[in-house]
Amino acid sequence: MKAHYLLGVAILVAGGIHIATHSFLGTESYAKSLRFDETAARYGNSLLAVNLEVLLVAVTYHTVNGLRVILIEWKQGPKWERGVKWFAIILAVILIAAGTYTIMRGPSLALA
Amino acid sequence: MEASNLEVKRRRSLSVLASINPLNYNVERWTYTLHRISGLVVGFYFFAHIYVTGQIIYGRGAWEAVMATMANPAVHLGEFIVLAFTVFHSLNGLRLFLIWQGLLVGRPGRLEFPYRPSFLGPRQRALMWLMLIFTVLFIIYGGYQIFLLQ
Repeated sequence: MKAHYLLGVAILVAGGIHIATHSFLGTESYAKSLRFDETAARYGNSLLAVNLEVLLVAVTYHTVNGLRVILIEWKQGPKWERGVKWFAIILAVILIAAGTYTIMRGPSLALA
Repeated sequence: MEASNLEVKRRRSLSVLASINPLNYNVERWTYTLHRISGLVVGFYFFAHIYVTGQIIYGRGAWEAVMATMANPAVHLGEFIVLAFTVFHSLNGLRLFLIWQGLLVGRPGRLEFPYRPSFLGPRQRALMWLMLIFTVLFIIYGGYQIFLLQ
C-alpha cells in the first residue's frame, strides 16, 4: 500500500503536467489542444513523452492495484487470489504495452 | 436503570438498521465510499483513454474521425463526470496520504466515554472541508474549460 500511496502522489505531479498541457501550458484551450497538429507536437516533445510514460506506468500500477484491493476485499481464498494476481499482471502488461506503443510512435507523427 | 431483554434486542436491531443507513454515515465514510466509486469510474476512463489516444498512430484522418465522434454533448457530460471524480479522487487521495503520514490526526489515547476516536478530531475535519472546497473550485475551472472554451 506504501507504493500505492506514493504513486498516487507521483500521479498528482505527472498528471498535473499532463492536464496543464491541455489547458494553459503551450496551448490556448482544451478544444484547441486536441487538434492533430498540437497533439502530434506534444508527442514529439521528448520531455512530455517521458512524462507520459511515467504517468502511464504510475497510473497503470495505481489502477490495477486499486482493482486488486477491491477484488480481494470482496472475496478471499487461494484460488480467487491467484486469479486476481494474474488478472492484475495481464491487465497491467496490456495497458503498458498499448500506451508505450502509442508513445513510441509519437515522434514520427509530426512528420506525417 | 436496567433495560429489559426485549428492549435491549429492539435497540440493537435499531442500531444495526441505523448503521447501514447511508444518511447516518459521517463525512469520512461518505468520502470513503465516493473514493471507491470514483476510483472505479476513473479507472475505466483510463482504459478507454489508452484506446482513444492510441488512434493517433493511424494518422490525421483517423484522429480527426475519432475526435469528431467525441465532439457531442453526451461525451462532454461524461468527460465532466470523469473530471469531477478525478478531482475528488486526487484531492481526497492527497488527504489520505497526509493522514497516513499522521498529520492532524492526533495521538491514540486511553479509551474514555463517549469513545470519540482521536483520528476524527476537528483538525482533520478542517482538512476535509478544505479538500472539498478545492474540489469544487477545480471542478468549476475544469467545467469552464470543457463546456465554455470551444
